[in-house]
Amino acid sequence: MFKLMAMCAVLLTAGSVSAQSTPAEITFESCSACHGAAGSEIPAIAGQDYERLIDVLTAYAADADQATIMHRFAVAFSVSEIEGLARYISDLEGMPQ
Amino acid sequence: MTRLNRRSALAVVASVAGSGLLPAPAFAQGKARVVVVGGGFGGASAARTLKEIAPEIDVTLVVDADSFTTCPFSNLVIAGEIPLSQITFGYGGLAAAGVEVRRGLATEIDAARKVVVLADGEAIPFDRAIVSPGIDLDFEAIPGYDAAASEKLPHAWKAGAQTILLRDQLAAMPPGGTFVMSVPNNPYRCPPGPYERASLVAHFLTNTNPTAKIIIVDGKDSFSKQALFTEGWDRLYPGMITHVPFAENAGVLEIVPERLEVVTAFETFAGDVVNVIPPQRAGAVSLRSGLADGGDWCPIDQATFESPFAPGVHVLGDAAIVGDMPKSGFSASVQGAVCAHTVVALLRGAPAEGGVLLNTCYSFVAPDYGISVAGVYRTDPDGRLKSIQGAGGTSPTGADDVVRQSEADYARGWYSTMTQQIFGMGPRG
Repeated sequence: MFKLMAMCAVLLTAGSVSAQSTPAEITFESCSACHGAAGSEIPAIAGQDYERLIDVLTAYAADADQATIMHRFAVAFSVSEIEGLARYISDLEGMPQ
Repeated sequence: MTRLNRRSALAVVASVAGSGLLPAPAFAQGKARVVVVGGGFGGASAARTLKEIAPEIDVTLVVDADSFTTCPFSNLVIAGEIPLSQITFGYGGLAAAGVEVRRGLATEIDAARKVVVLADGEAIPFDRAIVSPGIDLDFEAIPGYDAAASEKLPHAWKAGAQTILLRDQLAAMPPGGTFVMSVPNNPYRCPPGPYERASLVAHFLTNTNPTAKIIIVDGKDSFSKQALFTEGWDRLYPGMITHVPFAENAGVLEIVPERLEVVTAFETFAGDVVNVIPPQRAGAVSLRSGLADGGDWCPIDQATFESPFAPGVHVLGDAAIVGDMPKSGFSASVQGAVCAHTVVALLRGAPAEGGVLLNTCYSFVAPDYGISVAGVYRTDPDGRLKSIQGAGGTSPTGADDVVRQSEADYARGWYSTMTQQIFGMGPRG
């Protein structure tokens, strides 16, 4: 019986990981409205390097240059949120060019 | 151990739920079905995202036309810059993605029976419904302005035939004529839209009818991106556009279609072309189904989009009161995608995670002169979707041509990417 319970607990944990979306995945739905496809002035970002994404987002958060909307977004995110987003985006398959 | 994909994770949850350790998700009783009402940005985005993240769910999208013409970029059509076909999208891409597209008019969302009723009598059952019907124009709000009057004085606030009507009236306006716009108080669809329209009409007239005038009769004193618009108007169209704030007109009392007049408490404005954008309310099916609780817009749980008046029914887009988010196509598409994640979690018996929601509204002051306002939204401890202070905001005033050109380019990039992702035939990334 204990064995069965333990197995259920493992399954429950494993299942709950994938049965719901992560905050980064949900937040990325807003990013992909502009960055979800290649071929425009706005770069597609799926599959980009994790460290590079962190550098770029951190620079946008710090830099008040208002030539794009990215500073206005990035300034709202915590370090851990930026890391979570960068991890999610870098794990995506790259967009078809 | 190999990583679980979504399908195997689902099987695990269903089997554990069957053993009584979890609240029974809809899947435990068979295949879950979600019915989405509304084929605009909100509904189509929700349907597409549902099918993408949970292919095992049956998704039916109820649409009232064979295609959708976007309000974003419709002012470029009015100004003769692009054809209507460039902003019109069919539902073939959604069908190819596995969404069952049902052409019909939804007349009622019945939360008690868990069915969406169509005008042809069919009742489509659902485990959860997502309702994104957009706006209806309130043809009872201004005396003299009804549906018949809108054939002579177009609103062009639902894109399509009305857009073409206004475009053709503008092109035929006599030399030195007057283009009058009547703009409502908040809330309404696309807060900066009327001022983008005035800008692009001015762009068209500057090239074709340079002594013509534009008068904006406004139901409010200040408006979205006002400093940026007026800076652009002074620079590109000096003397052509007059904005009459509410304080200087005290409200529209009447429209007189036969004389092309907008009558306000202080003054009567006669035009050669008159564009009346009337007050608006949530789409009829939502009001008829009690989702607005007697009001004009639908309150929701701002973390899950679920209606407090209809369990299992989620409402989003222009029809809903979604915290501080504006009624925009960008907002609706993001809300549709986020709501899809929530609905899938609820159907799987898992707690719904939250994320950050973003909005951007680009406007064209001229085809090569773009400006923007952005917002970042989080659910606060009281469950309200609040705009984050210190983030978001508008483009800078006083910027150079390079900045304005780049924002016009970004506007086109956003539009093509978003419409391709929601309506496109190709694979989503």
